[in-house]
Amino acid sequence: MPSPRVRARLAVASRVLAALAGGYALAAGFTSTVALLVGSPREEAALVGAVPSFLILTGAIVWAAAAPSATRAWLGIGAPAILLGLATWWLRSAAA
Amino acid sequence: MSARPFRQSMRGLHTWSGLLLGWISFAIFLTGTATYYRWEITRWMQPELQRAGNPFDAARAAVTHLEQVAAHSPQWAVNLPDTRQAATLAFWRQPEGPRRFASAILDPRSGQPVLARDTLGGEFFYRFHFQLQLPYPWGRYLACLAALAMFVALISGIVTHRQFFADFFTFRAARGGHRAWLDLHNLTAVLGLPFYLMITYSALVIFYNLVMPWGTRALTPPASPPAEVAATASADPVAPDWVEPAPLAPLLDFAQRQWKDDPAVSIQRFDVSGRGTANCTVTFIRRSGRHVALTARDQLRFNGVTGALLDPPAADGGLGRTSHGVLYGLHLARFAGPILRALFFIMGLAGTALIATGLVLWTIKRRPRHRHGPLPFGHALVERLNLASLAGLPLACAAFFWANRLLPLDLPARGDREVQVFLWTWAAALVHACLRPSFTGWREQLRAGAVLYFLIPAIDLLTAREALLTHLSQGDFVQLTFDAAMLACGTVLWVAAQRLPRSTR
Repeated sequence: MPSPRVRARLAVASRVLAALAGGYALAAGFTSTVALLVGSPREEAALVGAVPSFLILTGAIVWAAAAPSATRAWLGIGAPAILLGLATWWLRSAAA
Repeated sequence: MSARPFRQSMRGLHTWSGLLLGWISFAIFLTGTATYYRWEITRWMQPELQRAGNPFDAARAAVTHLEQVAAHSPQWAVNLPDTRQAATLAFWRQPEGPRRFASAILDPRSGQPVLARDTLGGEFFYRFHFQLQLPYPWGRYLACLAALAMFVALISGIVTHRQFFADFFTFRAARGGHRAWLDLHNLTAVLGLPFYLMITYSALVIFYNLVMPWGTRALTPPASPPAEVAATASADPVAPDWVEPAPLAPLLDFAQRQWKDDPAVSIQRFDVSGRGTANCTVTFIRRSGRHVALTARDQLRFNGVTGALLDPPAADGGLGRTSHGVLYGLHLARFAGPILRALFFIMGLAGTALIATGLVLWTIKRRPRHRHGPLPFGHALVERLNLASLAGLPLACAAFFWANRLLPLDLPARGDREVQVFLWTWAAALVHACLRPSFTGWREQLRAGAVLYFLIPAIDLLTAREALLTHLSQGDFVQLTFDAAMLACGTVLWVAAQRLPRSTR
């Protein structure tokens, strides 16, 4: 077992990764899902998805810092990110 | 791990999101703020140029020149001078060849290329504030990451400071030290909070295609590779099926009658696309102080072959494009008149001070913990980087202006040399910051910066006095105002140096 100090540092690193990598994946999933739902015209659809996406990313970063534990930080960001990723995949295959 | 109160976790987020890219954010804010006066900076850095007259006359002169050098180019695009910009910038697509666009700076009166010194001028600050002198696209990525970090720092900072607005009326300068810095940090934060939120968020939105392209990607079918561009160059070949475009002079006359001669809302640029084809289109775009969004500009479009007036393009409604256009327009503030522009500039300065006080606060709060024994590496690093950016960057900017006046006018790649002077001065400031004791280093760099700024008007008088007198005789005060602004910069740095504690460490 690593010492409490090492474990605390690993937890912080895990939160940082959840905030940046997880948060970005969540924002990207949000952007592509919204863009696919709006559909056309293409630029308009892409922008409706992209303009608010940075609020989602900021929200994820705030959650990663505020969550009671690193595991909860990952759950709160990862679960919706996976759902939005699946939604993107489903909408794309439905459109094709 | 136990649950922590929300505010405490936000304090940690505020501290670290503010610190880790704070030096880059400071540099972006300082140069970005200068960008609000980029054309005025360019005018000072090219004193040879005189203020232009009527932009329609400049357009006619530019057309005459383009008909000589680019008669068979498929596309012309010309930015016209105004009360802030002295010269005409003409771009044209070369029919063939690897460098697809050629450009020239033209005299608004004669339409001939001007012989002004080679400099990036205010353009340098504009480019630096989002490219950071790094290779594409890494500078933009880093700038966007800094914008995100600052946006997060703003949001978490609002949560941290519960009595945010009460704090605005608190400034305990007399108590000195940590409390005074904190009050100054809070004061600058409240002063421009909506501006800071807007400027950081719009920075991300402006680069959405670079940093959040997934909507576009999801909608775009896999693209076919672009067609190879022929590598054989020729100055101005005539396409075999060339369709002669209509002369532009009558169209310019028509636009001038439509738009009158109010320089604030006169013609700003014109584009001629599809030249040589039946689809040739002429677009006159009006300088507009009425629309925030860059996309919502008044324009007149003509069929470029028959000269017939075309219907205006459909207004883009749409939540996405409108919000993007408004945020983009707010960030650039092209719509702003002199007073609003000055307010944006002051907000930018306040934001620069917000970042600077935040960075200093980090070290001042932690310094007493290390009163006994040596400074830990991290603390020393933050202090050195603070010094090299907060004092070193203004110093490097002053050196940039010195280089503009003192480098020989015929030096090859002169504009790049000016930038090198800026970078080497900044690098020297970093080395100096690492070698000197902290407070001594601050005092020396702030004073050196102050002296460099104080001497700029003197150098201007020695090297560009005739230009200054010519401008003044024409009622053009840009050069003089810039010199006065340099004295103000010097004063700020000098006062900052005087207020440093007399401590040796």
